[in-house]
Amino acid sequence: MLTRIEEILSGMATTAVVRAGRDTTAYEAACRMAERDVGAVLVVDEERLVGIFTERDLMVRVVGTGRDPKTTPLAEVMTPDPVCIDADMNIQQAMNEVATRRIRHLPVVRDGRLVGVVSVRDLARALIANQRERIEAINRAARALARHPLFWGASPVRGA
Amino acid sequence: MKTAISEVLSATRGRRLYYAAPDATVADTVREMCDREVGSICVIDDNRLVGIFTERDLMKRVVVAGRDPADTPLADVMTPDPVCVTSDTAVGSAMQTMEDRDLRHLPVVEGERLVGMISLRDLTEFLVTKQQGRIDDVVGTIRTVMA
Repeated sequence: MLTRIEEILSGMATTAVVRAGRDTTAYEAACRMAERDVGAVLVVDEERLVGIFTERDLMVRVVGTGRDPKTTPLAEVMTPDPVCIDADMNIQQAMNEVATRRIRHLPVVRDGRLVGVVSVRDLARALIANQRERIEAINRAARALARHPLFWGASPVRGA
Repeated sequence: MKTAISEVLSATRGRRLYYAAPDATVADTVREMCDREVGSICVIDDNRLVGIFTERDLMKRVVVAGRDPADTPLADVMTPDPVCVTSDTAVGSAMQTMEDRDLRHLPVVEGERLVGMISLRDLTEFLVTKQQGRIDDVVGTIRTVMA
């Protein structure tokens, strides 16, 4: 059974979500990200998610184009209408999203409402833990199975 | 059996390794990073790895600190003497290092010479694929036995 996004969120500090408005400057957003040591802010307009601004956007769309961070509003440099995932999704589905779209953060919504954000690091951690549990379970089952005489008659065991 | 970083490196073979000199400006380096679509770059002086400069450093030490990118050399804002691994470091221990130190990139060195760079994404993809292969193997064996 794969871990659901909801379960990852409940294990995380709520402070992981950093919010800003469309008019917030890139500089102010950078300060908030730096203070919380995160790589993305969610841009909201009256509780509605309208964009995401990441340290990659800061590099590519602000510094890389020679804009002044202190006078650039997020509305001009954010990624509008970001890809979101539902809190009900499992980590494999979420991982597929971040891998195919080459993004690092996924805002999480439940019933259309923003409830958090997960990063590729959060997903990787959960996915690897999930697989480890599965391997352990399989190993336990395999040891039990190997005690059965039919097992040895039926198939050679690789790496045994 | 422990898997070594060399295996991850060979999975990323063909990828170019980008680097800059300590006296390169942040503005020039950022243009290079944008063109190459990379989030970090190694800083090399006289064939020696002396630092690493990442998007996070750009955000914290340049933008937030109010420095002028066109007038700031990498030497002033890079992370000097970065945490490195070698080709024979175990994948699990590299992953642990990234977790513990909250890093997204690890230069791979031989002595002081840079031979590669692995990202958290590379390690994750490698581990997940490898573990999945193991799971599929065992499940396959069990299916054969039970059939």
